[in-house]
Amino acid sequence: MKRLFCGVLVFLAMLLSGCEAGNIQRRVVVHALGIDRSKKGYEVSYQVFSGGEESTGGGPVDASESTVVTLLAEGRTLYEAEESLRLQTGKEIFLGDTELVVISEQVGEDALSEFLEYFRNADIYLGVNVVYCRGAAKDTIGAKLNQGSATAILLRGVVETAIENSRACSSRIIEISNAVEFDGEAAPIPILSLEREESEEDMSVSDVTLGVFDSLLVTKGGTLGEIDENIAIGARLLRGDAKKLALTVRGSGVASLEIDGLKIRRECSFNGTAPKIKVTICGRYSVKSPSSGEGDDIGGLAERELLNLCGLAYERSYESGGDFLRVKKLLKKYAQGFSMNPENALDGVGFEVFVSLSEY
Amino acid sequence: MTAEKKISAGQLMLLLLLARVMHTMMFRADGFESGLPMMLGLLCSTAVEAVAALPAVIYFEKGGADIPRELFGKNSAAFSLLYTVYFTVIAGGTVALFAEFMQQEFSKTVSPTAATVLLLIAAAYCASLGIEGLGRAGTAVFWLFAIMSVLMVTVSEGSFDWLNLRPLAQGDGETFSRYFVESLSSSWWLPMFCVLGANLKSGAKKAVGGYLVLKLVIIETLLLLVTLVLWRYIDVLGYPILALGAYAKSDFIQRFDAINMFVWAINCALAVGVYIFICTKPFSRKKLSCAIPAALAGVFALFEYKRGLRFDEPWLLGFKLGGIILLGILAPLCACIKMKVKEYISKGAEE
Amino acid sequence: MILMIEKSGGLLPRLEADISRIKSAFGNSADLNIVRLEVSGVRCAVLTLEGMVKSSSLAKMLFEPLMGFEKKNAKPADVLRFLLDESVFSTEQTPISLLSEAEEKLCSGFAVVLVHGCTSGLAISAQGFDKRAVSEPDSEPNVKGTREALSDSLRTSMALIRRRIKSPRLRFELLKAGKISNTELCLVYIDGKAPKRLIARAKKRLEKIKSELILTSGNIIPYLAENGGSFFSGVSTTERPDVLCAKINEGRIGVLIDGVPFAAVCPALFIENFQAVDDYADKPYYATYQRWIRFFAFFISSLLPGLYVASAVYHPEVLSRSLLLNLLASEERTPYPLVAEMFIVIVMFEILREAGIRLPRSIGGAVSIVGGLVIGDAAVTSGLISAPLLIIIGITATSAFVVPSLTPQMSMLRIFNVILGGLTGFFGIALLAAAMLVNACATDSFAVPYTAPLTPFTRRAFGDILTKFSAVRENVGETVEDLNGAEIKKEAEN
Repeated sequence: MKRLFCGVLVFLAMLLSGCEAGNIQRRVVVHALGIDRSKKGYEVSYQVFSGGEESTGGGPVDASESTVVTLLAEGRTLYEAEESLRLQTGKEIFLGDTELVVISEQVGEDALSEFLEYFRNADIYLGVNVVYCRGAAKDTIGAKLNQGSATAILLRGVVETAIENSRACSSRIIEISNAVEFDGEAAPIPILSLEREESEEDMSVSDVTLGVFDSLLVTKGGTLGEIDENIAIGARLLRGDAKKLALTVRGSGVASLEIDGLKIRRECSFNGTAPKIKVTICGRYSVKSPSSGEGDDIGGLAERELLNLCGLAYERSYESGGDFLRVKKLLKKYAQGFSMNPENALDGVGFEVFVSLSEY
Repeated sequence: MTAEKKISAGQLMLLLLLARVMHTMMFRADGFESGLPMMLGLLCSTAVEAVAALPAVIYFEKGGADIPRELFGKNSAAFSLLYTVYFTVIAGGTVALFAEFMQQEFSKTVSPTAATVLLLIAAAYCASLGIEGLGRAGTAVFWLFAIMSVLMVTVSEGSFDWLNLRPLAQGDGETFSRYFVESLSSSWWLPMFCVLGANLKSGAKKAVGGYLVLKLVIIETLLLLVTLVLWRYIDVLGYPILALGAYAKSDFIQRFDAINMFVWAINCALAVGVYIFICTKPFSRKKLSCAIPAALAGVFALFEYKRGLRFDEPWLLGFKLGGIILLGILAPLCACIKMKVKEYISKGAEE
Repeated sequence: MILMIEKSGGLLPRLEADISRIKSAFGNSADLNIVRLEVSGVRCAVLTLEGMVKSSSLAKMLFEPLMGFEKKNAKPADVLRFLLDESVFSTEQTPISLLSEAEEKLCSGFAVVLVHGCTSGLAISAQGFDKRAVSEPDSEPNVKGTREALSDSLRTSMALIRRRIKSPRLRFELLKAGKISNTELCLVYIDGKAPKRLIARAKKRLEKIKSELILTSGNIIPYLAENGGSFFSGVSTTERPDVLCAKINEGRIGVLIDGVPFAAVCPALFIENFQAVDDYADKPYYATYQRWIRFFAFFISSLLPGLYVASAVYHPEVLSRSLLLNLLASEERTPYPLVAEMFIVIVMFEILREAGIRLPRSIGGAVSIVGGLVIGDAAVTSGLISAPLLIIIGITATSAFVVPSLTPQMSMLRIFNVILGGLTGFFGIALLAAAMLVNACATDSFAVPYTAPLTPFTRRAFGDILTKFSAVRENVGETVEDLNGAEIKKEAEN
């Protein structure tokens, strides 16, 4: 009993003397990271929560326009920038709530592996998407859009919707790390565009819009240029991870349709000595905006359009030499006897694509 | 050693399993290339373990009560001390691994020294409560794991990529042999079984068979899951413990790393508790005898941690393998032979 | 001769000498009443203790026949014969020959009749002390079960049980305990259901009681449980006769204590804390749901504050974003660290709870109002305590009321979890959980594992543990000794 009493006393003494490693008040919760190149090295913009003072009125608090601010910190490395922010705020930096990482296109091709190394050691959830952006990342992170501030949730929503609709490939930290581990493999990373050049005829659209329209092909050693959303759709189809997509087909008129329930099977077979990859795409479509032309076979047009998109993706992959169609992995599994061209995984590999769509 | 028969075959099976899975999940393997050679390595090592376990199983099935006593009679204490030394090192190694894990992944939560001390206090306390409590608690912890695993799989954002399961290639021989040896050197369940068999009510065959099958299924499944979902990223995560929850996310619980640590800390306390209990078997004063091995294990754990020794150092691998062969295979084999000879002599005398 | 009798503690043939010896044994206690009377010329005395006998009954059953006895030249032996052999004064009348017997009977509410010139007397049962009427079970209320609770009076409690089990197999065995109080204990069990080994062991343990007074069930439980280091108790208590009957029907034994309206029941299982009488009156699906709610409440009450503190201080990544941000926003304005804040609120809650229990019911409500006002509103408005923390404590406190039988354990676990969670995060809580789990699993009550039938697992008993699927399941006649891991039967066989 005496021992128990002594134990409780010691615990209480430690507790009341403030023997705790961290206090919740002394944390900066980061929602989004933006990384730009600066003279010193990197300029990192942290979208952080600052709702403590403003939410005196009670009620639920969440990351909204009024409760987030963007803080900037510089450093030769991301660690140094984090340390700098720690010194600025006098608080611990908590990256565990990060929703998105935005990297400026200007940062450079070789920095991605360094970033990935940093993310691996930080508290960041490894399922967070990494995206590039046009212009400065700090502008994207702190942008004021028509629909409000570019909060991390909004930015994440934009990226995830693009991925969901197959307009970009998923770019989680884990996936990118696995994809760019070996030579010849490439990962398309979505590019967040804050502004888009509008066509002259359509001036009604705001010039400050946000969206994912292109992706940047990243490899172990650098980048291989951009791909547009059509190629991204084709890539998703050939990779076999597209679930649904929206498509506009042109026959005698124009029709918009939505394709979902996509089932894609990739099989590898040998045609003599060269491997052949057979991709079978099945799905169902529903017409959202009927064709103005008469007698258009919407299903047939859609199938042809998908084939066309697959062709674009194949061509881009072959040209760039970056295997973003994940052919290398497939061949490693099914075509072990085949000696792959280390420069270009698609070299000597035949593709056969079958598309079959049915209407709801 | 006392021959109190207290736990059931199922409880012993789960205790052995928890201790084994604990080691696998704590071990930071480098160079994850492909899952298949590792899975094959585990399969082969399990087959070898099944054969190696035969002497101990036969001994206990034939009614043997206590291996050291069978071999050395009243002078068995000295031989029993070998088990004490062996499991003190194993306990220390396990605690050091956990302390290192805490330092790597939860450095702000608790210092490695504090983690070592607290863990050993909890383990020594658990050991002092006896094998019955440990055995029953083992069942509860096993179910806790099952619930946790199902929960994490349910909320996982990851998906299977079957392309990660590359078929065996020529270069996989090295991975296979490395994992085979590592897996064999982690088979200290054999000496564990030799000691705890004395506390078994009945069903040595059931305990060992169940353990081998369950171990194979669970670890192979974990390896398969990790390969399909994470692949080489397991190298980045380092600890298989975290691999399970790396992709799990829900609106209610955002991340599962700390939850995983919570569950594995319970298991670590339990597994080390069993090791300490084994260490105390030659002694009669249970409370004191729990504190001494715990303190020694603590010293060894801190030494191992501070000196940066890895649990797969060649000399440690040799020590572990040597212990398994001497205490887990040869000792029960000799006990079996002696028992048979005794039977033969007594039969001869009767005739 | 007289000296010899006196030395052996026997009654003397001298009435006054016996009276003065009894007086001195009671230290001239004011409640000792002595009525001296002459019966056919023979001096007699009737001794009673004030308030322990019913005067009107005594007058009718003893004094009237006694005064009606007339015999010429009656001798003391004639009067004694009349008392012992020729009359029936009460259903319970015992001859006494020792002074200690006389004292004991007086203390039990008997009237003792002594006759001058005789070395024996008579003790007549005429108990008439005031006792509480059979009341409602306040500590174990229910909706559809009985409204009767066990009584302070041992005999009333025995009758309440007998009324529910009208079988000759129901056994009551009286024992005495308490060096000074000499309290009557009653062992209740069903013959053929309770293992003999269990009964013998319980008797042995009760005989070892060294306490001077037995005033509550807490005086006998430590002797019955014999688990010094256990955090949980292998002996439970109940004030409901229906619960006691159900338990003894499962092969357990109950111990009734004179003067205490609670019965101790052993062996007790952890799982029983989550069962309620209403489970057996409700639909099985609803009973199962309710039972799971109770399990959930136990874990919430023990773990939630500790997990909350540990999550907020060390593992904020576990919390969902909105919860983390709300927490952050509210904690910005509070003066104390989260752990200290939680600690303060828990202590305040315990103070209020204690005040609520100790105060008379009429002003108990006032405590709730003051507590609600002080903690709920003023503390948050003044910024002393954050609102999310108060919600956590509110949920915790409410959950604690769901499983009242585990209140001491939950309270201690709660406070230790907060301390360990604040110092070492989830790691410390995990170690405490491991220690508590092994402790509970290592607890045996009369060779029955406390954690049975969960671990060791007994599938047969599962229908009435985590679930309550069948209404007829409870009638299968299984007892605690049928649980896996229970060694009672084996011990008995040995």
